[in-house]
Amino acid sequence: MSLRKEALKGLFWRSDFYGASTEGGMASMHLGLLTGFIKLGHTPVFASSGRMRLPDVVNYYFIPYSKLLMNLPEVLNLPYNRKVSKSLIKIIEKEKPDFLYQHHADLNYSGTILKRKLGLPFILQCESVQYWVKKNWGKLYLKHHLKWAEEIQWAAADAIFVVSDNVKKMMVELGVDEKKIYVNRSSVNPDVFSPEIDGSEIRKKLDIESNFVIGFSGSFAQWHGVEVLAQAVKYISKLIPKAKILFIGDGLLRPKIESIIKNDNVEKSCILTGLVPFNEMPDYLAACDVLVTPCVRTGEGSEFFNSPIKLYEYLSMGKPVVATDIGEQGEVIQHLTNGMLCSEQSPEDLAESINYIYKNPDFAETIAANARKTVLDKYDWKLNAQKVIEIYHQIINKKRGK
Amino acid sequence: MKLLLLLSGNKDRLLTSHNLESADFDVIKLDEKELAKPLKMIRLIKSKRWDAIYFGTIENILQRFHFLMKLYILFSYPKQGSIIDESGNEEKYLLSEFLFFQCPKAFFEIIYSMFVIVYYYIKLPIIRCHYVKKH
Repeated sequence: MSLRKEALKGLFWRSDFYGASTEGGMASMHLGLLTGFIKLGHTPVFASSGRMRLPDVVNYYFIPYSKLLMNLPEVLNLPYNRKVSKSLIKIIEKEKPDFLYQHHADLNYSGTILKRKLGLPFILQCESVQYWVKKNWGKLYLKHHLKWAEEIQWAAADAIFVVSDNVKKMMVELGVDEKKIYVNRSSVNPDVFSPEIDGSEIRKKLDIESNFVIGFSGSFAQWHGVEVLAQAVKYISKLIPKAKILFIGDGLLRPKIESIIKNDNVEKSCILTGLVPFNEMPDYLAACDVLVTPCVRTGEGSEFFNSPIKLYEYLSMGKPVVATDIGEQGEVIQHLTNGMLCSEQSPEDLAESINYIYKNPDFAETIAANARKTVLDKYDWKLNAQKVIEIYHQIINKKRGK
Repeated sequence: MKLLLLLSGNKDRLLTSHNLESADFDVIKLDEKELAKPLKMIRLIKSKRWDAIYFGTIENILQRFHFLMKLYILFSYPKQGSIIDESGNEEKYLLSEFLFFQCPKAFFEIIYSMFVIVYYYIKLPIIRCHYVKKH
């Protein structure tokens, strides 16, 4: 059965302020969803407040933030509502999209403005409850504004896509209509992250051709658990003397990671590559023998509600994966079938799991093949895009009273 | 020796696009959030007598906190520096520009921000009432 019903045009926009960065999980998510939409034969139009790496066929509109409000945090997001809405109305008149798809951002309610003025179906994507994130992980400026803007968007949206069951649960507890929240987990483009990719060039470049290579990719942020991996290096080195741990990425925790590695005297076992362009990431992952995602919960008693894109990229590479048994990771990875689960915040357990894979190459091969199959069956961005289309049709049918 | 505070982007691309020699620079990677910590920043730029302070970004027009960066250059020993990006754009620190353009602009920004906050403090509950009741 063909996934395509009719060619649609969707206006997607990213309204958060993200400076000039074109890499990272959020950029991958947008690129993946748009690529999936195109693969299904539909036409995406994209607008954002910064530069984006997009396929050439996508009509892209750059709507920058005001130059006037660039020295104070958060406030700049409020007047951007007016600016982005005015620009998007012109874009909508020109492009005539069938629906609006906004990636939710702090203090932004431009989707609500557009829906009110134009009556187009409005789909909102939420990575998290921003109010909760700012309160627990960041700095909560303009808390009333933030809460109100979020509530407005949730109420006005015809459908809300969230990345995990935990985000859905949080939103339902805050009074959002459960019937309009859909879980659409992160995914991957299996043509880009493929087992066919040869990592030998990178192994040669990094002089790790004869090593057993353990890879981590992503931001050096707390929830990624990169500290746990750094603490695990001393155990891994004892268990697997020829192990090399490849830290692919960068971030705020880098000095801390370097300090752990130095204090444990395991510098020779580690390579910190720094930021790697997105198009080179598959080559780096291909150079690894096992890939790890040691994510941790942050904040006392909080659930893990993130949807780590790297998990899907790893699985798609057809490599053995070790992940901590929390949140989405524990749901996607079936222990000893398509990967290995280990305890959260336990460097020893992480090292033991990696060692088990090292010592059992046949087992490693089996879970790697199953990992790839998991992605092809369930976690291709094309399937996410298909879900968006299905929900669009449901909204339209509901409006028509079918 | 000069100091490059790398906020974003690639050190080599930045220096090459401005014909600057890598050997002349101490490079410190800095998260944008650190700019909002004045004591830490001033301690950092005064920790050594550099000849000039550069802030490096991927693209200047998409970088926030220009006022703070120039303020830190003002506090540095050489009082010389620039904000540079990977496309070869440079925003030089000039005392007169800082005093007679950046400072009044920052003052206006604070006043305008206060207005924006109050305006949306009134507007958002009205819109919220409309939607939250309706749905």
